[in-house]
Amino acid sequence: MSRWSQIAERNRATVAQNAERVLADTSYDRFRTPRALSMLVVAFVVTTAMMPICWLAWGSLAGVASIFPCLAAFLLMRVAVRSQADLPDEVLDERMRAERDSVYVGAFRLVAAVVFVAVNAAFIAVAFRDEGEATITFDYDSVSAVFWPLLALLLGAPSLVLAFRQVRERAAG
Amino acid sequence: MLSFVGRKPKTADGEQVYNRILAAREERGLSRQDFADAIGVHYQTVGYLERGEYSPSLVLALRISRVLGLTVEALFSLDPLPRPEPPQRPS
Repeated sequence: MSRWSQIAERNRATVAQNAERVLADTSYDRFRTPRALSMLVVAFVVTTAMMPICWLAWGSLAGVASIFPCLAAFLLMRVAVRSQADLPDEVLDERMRAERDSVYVGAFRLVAAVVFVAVNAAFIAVAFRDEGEATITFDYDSVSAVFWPLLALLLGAPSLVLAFRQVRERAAG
Repeated sequence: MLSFVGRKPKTADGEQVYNRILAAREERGLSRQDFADAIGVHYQTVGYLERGEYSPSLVLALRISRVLGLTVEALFSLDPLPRPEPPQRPS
């Protein structure tokens, strides 16, 4: 067995071991109630939406500070859904795999919709501008205002969709 | 026959799939965790199966039938299954 195969095998074993622990974990059950999950979904959406505002309106310091609440909401939401959206096939059973795959379709649609709306809003804002031509400032704050929310959305969308579906499912009884 | 989780499982024709997994498991005195280990799924999945919210693949259905010692036809049906009769009291 080559060195790379050994590393890959060890990595697979570690992932499987951690996944087993995460899937059986009950210590975060207080975040898995419909109410707590709803609050985490709202917190993640709000903190993600606040990031570009903080970067553009209040500068770098507020921008950097806005990352942490979003990160906290993301991590808690991920724990609440047992990281199911991020686990590999080998450690999930067939229902979980089906659920995860379906969640990724939902997450793709969500990201596509958000990007579509954001780009169109920018176009409309530029088109209806009163004062001269719009300019794009390519500085640290402007790039960060796009980069961090987009990163949060890309990383968090699967867990967000999964959490939202679990809330809806439990509410339906 | 895989359905979206959280929705009632239906076949391609839109039919509901009924099962008697819960009754059969309880008759055999198996806990949800023991049953989940025996058929190789997470214990939450057993709940989804028992509530009829998830229809298993053919492989899983065969594994369930082997563990419970019943045929697939006895466990799953497209028609509502009759409730199991309560055990007779000794006279």
